[in-house]
Amino acid sequence: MGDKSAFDVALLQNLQIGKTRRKTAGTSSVKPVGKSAAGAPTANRRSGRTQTEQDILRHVQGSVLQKFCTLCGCLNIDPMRPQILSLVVILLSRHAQRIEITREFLLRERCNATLVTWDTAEDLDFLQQKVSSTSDWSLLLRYIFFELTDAARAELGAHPVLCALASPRATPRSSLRCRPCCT
Amino acid sequence: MQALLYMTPAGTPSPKMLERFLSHHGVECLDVEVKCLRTVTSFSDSSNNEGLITACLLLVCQSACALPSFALDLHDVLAAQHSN
Repeated sequence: MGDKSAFDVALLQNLQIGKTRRKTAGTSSVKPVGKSAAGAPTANRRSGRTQTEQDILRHVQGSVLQKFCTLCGCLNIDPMRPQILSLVVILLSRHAQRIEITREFLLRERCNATLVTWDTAEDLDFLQQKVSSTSDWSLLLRYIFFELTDAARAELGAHPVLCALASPRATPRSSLRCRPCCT
Repeated sequence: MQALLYMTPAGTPSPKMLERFLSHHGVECLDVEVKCLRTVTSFSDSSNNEGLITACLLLVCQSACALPSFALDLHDVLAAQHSN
């Protein structure tokens, strides 16, 4: 019993020492960094952080684009072709008639050379396995911009669907603030 | 138009995508989640005509172009894939 209690105390002491050692080691390993960081200009630390953030963003971007390329490979379409991003948006859209819309889009764009594997295209679940997350789509859609003639702008501006979306009934425009121009 | 595209992909919550769109364009507002949810609900209620939506999506997608950086970034990714 006495031996056991002595052993326990020894074990406890060892644990305490271990804790202290760990703490000491952690502190000692942090200290030089702190010293050097204190000596270094703050701008360097900020630029280092920004650099890391940029690296992470670039990595995420590369990963999403890789998924996009895989998706294009499954559909037998060349990701480098113009209008492919629009085509993929339609093909993976939530509309029931998405295949018909895609065919119509290809006809209008005169992309006869684009031979989509329609069997794969019809399997939305399979396509969603490739690109589906909010962040993936958000990143891909950021690459899109619009080139509109005045006539097209007028036509789209008067389109009932876009008017319904831009309706201020749900979200009053006055409640929206734009970062660059408002304080 | 871009907001419509953000709300288009299947398997993504439209209100969340609308939030992303607003965030991307630097728009700030109070209770953005609630407002986006209301906007999407209102839009879904008011636009029941599938034909109109189809026509609109086609027009929007025809006007949409990818930024030049898209091709450059894709080229980098494809080059990295080939090198591996």
